[in-house]
Amino acid sequence: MLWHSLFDLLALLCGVSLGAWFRRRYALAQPVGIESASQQHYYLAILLLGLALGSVLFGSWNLWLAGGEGLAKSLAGGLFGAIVTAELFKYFSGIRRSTGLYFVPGLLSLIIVGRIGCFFGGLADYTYGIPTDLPWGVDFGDGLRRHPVQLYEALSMLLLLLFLLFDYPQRRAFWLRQGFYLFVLVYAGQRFAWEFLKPYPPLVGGLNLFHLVSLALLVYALGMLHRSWRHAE
Amino acid sequence: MNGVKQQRPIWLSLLMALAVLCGVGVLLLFAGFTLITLSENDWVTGMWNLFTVVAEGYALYRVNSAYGGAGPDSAVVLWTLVVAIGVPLVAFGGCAVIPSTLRIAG
Repeated sequence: MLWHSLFDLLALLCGVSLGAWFRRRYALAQPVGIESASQQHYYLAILLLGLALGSVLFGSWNLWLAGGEGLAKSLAGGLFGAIVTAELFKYFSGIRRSTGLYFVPGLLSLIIVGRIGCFFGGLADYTYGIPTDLPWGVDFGDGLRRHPVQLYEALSMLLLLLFLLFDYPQRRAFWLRQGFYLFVLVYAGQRFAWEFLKPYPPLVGGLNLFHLVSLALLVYALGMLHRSWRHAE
Repeated sequence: MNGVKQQRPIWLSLLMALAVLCGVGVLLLFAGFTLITLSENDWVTGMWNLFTVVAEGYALYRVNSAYGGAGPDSAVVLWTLVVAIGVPLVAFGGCAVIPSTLRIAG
C-alpha cells in the first residue's frame, strides 16, 4: 500500500506534467475540434463522469465476480466509460474529428508509472498474474512465482510513448487524426493478451470481463481508424 | 462581461451547494487520515492524504471562484464534478478502493 500510494502520486505528477509539456511544446491548447471554452468545460466534465463511472463499475464488477468485497477501480473500464461519454458528447455537439490525442501522452505516462505501483502493491492489489516457471516470475508473498503482468503493461505503454514522442514531430497530421485510436488499439490489444495471464474468473466462453471490455475497445479503435482512413483518402 | 458577477440558474446553485458539502466532507475525512497517518510516522501515506486535502481545497477554491466570478456556467459544472468525483476518485488510490481506504485510515 505504501509503495502503491507513492507511485499513484508519482503517476499523477508524471501524467499531468508530461501531458502539459507535450501540449505546450506542440501548441495543443485544447482538444482538436473543441471550439470554445464552454464546450471544452462540458467535454471535460462528461469525460470525467464517464471515466469515474466506467472505472468503478467495471473494477468493482470484476472484484465481485472473483468473490471479493468492496469497490475497485479499473483503467480499462475508465477508458471505456470515457470513450462512450466522449463519443456521445461529440455526436450531439456535431464534432466529427478525433479529440483524444490531447490526453494520450499524459495517459500513457500515468499507466506506465501507475502499473509499477500496482506491481509493488503485490497480492492485495489483485493485479498480479498467474503462476509461471519463467525465470522472470515474481513471488508476491504467497510462495508462487507469478507473471508480473503489471510490468508487461507498463513496458508496452512505454514503447508506445517512445514511439509517439519520436514520431509525432514527423507525422503530426497522422497523430492528430488517428493517434488516439492507435493508442486505444494498442492499449486494448496488449490488455486483451495480458488478461490470459491473470487469475480473473471467466465470464463468457473462457474470457473474463476485461477481455470483453478490451474487445469492445478494439472494435471501436479499428472502426474509427477505418473511418478516419476513408475520410483521409 | 469582465468583472461582472453572473446570475446563476437555481439548478447550478443547488449542484454547487451539494458539491461543496461533498468536498468539505472529503477534505475533513482526509485531514483526519493525514493526522492519523502522520502521527504513526507513515510519511508516504500521510503525504498522500495531505496531497488529497490540498487538491480538494484547491478544487473547492476553483468552484467557488468560478461560481462567484463572471465565467460561464460550464466552468462551475466542471469544477463541481472535480470536487465531487474527480479528487475523491484519485484520492482513494490503488485499484482496490475500500481495502486501501481502510489502510489509509490506519
